[in-house]
Amino acid sequence: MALLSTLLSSAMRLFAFALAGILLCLPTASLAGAEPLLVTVVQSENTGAYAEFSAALRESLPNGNVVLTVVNSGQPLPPKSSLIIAVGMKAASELGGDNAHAVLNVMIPRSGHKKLLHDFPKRENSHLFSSIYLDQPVERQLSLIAAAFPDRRNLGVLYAAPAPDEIGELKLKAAEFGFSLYADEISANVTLFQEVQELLKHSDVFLSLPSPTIFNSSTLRNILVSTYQAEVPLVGFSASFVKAGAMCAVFSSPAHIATQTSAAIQRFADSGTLPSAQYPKFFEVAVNERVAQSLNIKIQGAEELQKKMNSPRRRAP
Amino acid sequence: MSRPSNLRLQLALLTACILAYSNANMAEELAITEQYLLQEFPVVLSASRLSQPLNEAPNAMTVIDRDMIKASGFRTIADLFRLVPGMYVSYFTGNKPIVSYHGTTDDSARRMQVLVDGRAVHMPPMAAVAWEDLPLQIGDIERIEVIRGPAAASYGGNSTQGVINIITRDAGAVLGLQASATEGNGGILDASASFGKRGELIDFRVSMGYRSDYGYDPNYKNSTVGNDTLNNDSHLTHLLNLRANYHPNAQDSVDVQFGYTDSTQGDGSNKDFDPNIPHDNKHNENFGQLTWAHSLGGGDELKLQYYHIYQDVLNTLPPNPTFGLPALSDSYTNTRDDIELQHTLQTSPDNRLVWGASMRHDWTSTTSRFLNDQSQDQTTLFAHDEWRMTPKWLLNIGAMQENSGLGQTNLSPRAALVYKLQERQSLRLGVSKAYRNPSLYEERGNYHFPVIGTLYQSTGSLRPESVLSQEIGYLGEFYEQGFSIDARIYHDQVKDVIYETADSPKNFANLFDAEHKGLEITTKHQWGNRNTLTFNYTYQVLSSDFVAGSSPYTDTMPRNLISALYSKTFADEVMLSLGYYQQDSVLPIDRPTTDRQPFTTRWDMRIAKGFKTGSDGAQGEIALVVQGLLGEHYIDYLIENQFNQRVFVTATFRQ
Repeated sequence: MALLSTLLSSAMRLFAFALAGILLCLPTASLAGAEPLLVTVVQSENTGAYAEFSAALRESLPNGNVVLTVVNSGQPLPPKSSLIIAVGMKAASELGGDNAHAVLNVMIPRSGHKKLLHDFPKRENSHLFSSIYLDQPVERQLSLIAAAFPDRRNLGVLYAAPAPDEIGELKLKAAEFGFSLYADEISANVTLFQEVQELLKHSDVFLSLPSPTIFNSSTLRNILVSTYQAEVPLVGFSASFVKAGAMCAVFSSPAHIATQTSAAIQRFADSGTLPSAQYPKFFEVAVNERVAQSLNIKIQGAEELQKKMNSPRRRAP
Repeated sequence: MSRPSNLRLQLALLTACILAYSNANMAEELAITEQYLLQEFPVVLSASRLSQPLNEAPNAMTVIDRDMIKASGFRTIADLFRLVPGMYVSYFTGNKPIVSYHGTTDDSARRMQVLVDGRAVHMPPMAAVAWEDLPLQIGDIERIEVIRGPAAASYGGNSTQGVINIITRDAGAVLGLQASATEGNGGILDASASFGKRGELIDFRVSMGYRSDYGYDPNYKNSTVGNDTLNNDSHLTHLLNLRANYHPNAQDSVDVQFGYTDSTQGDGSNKDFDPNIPHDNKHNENFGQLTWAHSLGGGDELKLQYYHIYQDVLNTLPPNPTFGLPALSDSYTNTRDDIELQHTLQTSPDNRLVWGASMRHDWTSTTSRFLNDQSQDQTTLFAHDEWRMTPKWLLNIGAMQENSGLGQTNLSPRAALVYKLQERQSLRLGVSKAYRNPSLYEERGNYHFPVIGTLYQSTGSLRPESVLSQEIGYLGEFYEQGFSIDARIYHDQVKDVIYETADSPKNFANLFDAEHKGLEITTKHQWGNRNTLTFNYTYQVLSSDFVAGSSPYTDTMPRNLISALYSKTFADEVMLSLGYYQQDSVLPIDRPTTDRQPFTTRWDMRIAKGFKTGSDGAQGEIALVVQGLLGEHYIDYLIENQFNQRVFVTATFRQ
């Protein structure tokens, strides 16, 4: 059985690859004639971060060989689009099944990319379907913590079942950075508040992994105040989280993603393929100086921390 | 047959439901959308809860945190201010601390605003702070922020010299039980116990305590009789505090506080020609405070605060046959009710505005100090704005309009421009004008006793005192080197200082102008295996034509002041700290030459050893504190207040 299914899936993959190759011939051929590449941005919404992304992308594309059209999710695609940039999960979910187009999903979480592949299995291993995530790689977060709190070694995280991929990666990487990891799966029998109290007993820095069950606007107050009172810095996952009271975070703005998208478009124009799904290349650090000051925790400024993170220097375990 | 199949069907349905449910759950957890990552969270740790970064504050600021409080070994709150540059700490008697900044220091030092969790505690009739009566235990303090320089624009009246902002621990900051006991020479006997619990909706903490000592040692000979003066300045104070915080959601927080003190304090002396013969006074103070904070999103916040303070001092001077005096009452009762609304607005990413208004009703009843009961209704309206003009330039402007309720209305403006030389280095240029309105006593006092007659008779119509302050500050933080420096030079022009006249009976008048100039430096070093050193240096020059009694004005504050605190943590939870305090000769404005304090130095030491009792997580600590390590002794404020070495041991237990 197992052998048969492996064979079948290999055959399907081969078929998909062949199909993709045929489909590719057309745009590649037209590119050779220096025809401009028609790129359509499909925004999940025409507001806030989505619109910010589209504006930044338009600015970052060199003039000439790319024609950019921006539409909103649900609107018809302009004819002859060679590449679709789906901004956000709503747009990505709508376009994932559209096998006629190459699709680059941007500003989606990594778990969102996984879900898309699950929902649209034909897209797996395709060079015409890729994503640029919005969330940050575990290694980068560890590197921020190491730079910001060189004296803290007990790292705590909470997660809800099923364990996100980050947990496995954290378990692998934490020691490399000299951290001992306390990773606790929240349980239905204990209140979240108690889970946080328990974590604070074992940790001197608390890394938040995105989870609507754990971090939402009704739980955030207790989590932030508890960590503040325990004098344990909380590492957030967005600029807004830092503003709310987390000590620091590494995050990528729509403009950062747009710069990376622009490079992917260039690559597509040159080679007809999309780079493999990837984390954001560009990022910045946010620091809540008031929280640091109030807790008397010496933390460097955002720029200094970013510089320190960029110069790779791991701690001895 | 139908039953089993039915059951099977039900089971199948149930399984399907469970699967569907768990899948839905899984999908929910898997389907983190970008909207989740991009969402705006409510600001929980708002600016009003946190302290301002030093390099953005509109004034020079000193922060005394819990570590420093512990390392200092100090038992009294007033002593902590020795760790602030420019601050003069002394005691009128062993139970009447004096904390003063810059000039015009006298026994009721009333030119600094003192706030405890936003509660103004300089009370009528004198507008002085009764430090020993405050329902506040040193162990409950989270941190103290001392704003050096006038800050009336943000903190209102009495802020002409600076602001002491005492922030106590949050309701949820104390977990479990903690108890400590202290015993030492000089009658030192303190005890405290606290208990706290943090909950999903409600946090609370309770603390109670007891503190006592004999005050100064009797070591001054009366000039005529030759016997020792009796320093009747002991105290025995009981304290109780309760704080609860209710947080039903992420936006709202309701904080409730109660505090109570009951204190027996020695008063009077057997000094020659003093009708105030030794006796005990009963002090009672309590307060209730309610604060509602509502987060409006985007960092905006609305805060409404109400508090009530009650203060009662029962002071009956015993009959004095030598002077032919009957028993005399110098008792008083005060109350304060204050309500304040404050709105913080992030008007743009680069601009933050705080504005608000307050109303205060003070009432005082005393037969000896006024002819009848007095009340005062004050109102304030304030706004200040923090504008990040560019990443390098920050402008702070603010003003407070204040109506004293006694006939004075004034506007106190302030502007400070901060230039960031580098990420951690900044220059600050500040100009501020601040007013101090006359106190009820200065405006309407009538201090009189039967037989003795009238000692003070205020004729009123005083102008408010004013200070025009200019300063240049530099702040450099060098984390890599473990070093920071905070320096400022200032020039304060003080006008219309309200002071007592030489008339008989005495009156209060806008008696003189003065100039205060100086330099203040604080450095902090951290090195090696947990060594920290805080060093403060102050150089100040006071000038005025005014001669108060016996000494030139320039001598009324020490010219050079040094304080330093070093601490080191060794292995095995052993901690050592050393404090050094040095002060030039000084003769406070209200003292005769006999009370001149010579140049003094003092070393304090604290050695502590922590221990864990076992697997149940209980912890303990034994600490030995020696104040006056080298046997230093010096005069404190009055010649009969002679400081002698104090040694005490504190045992703390925590579970």
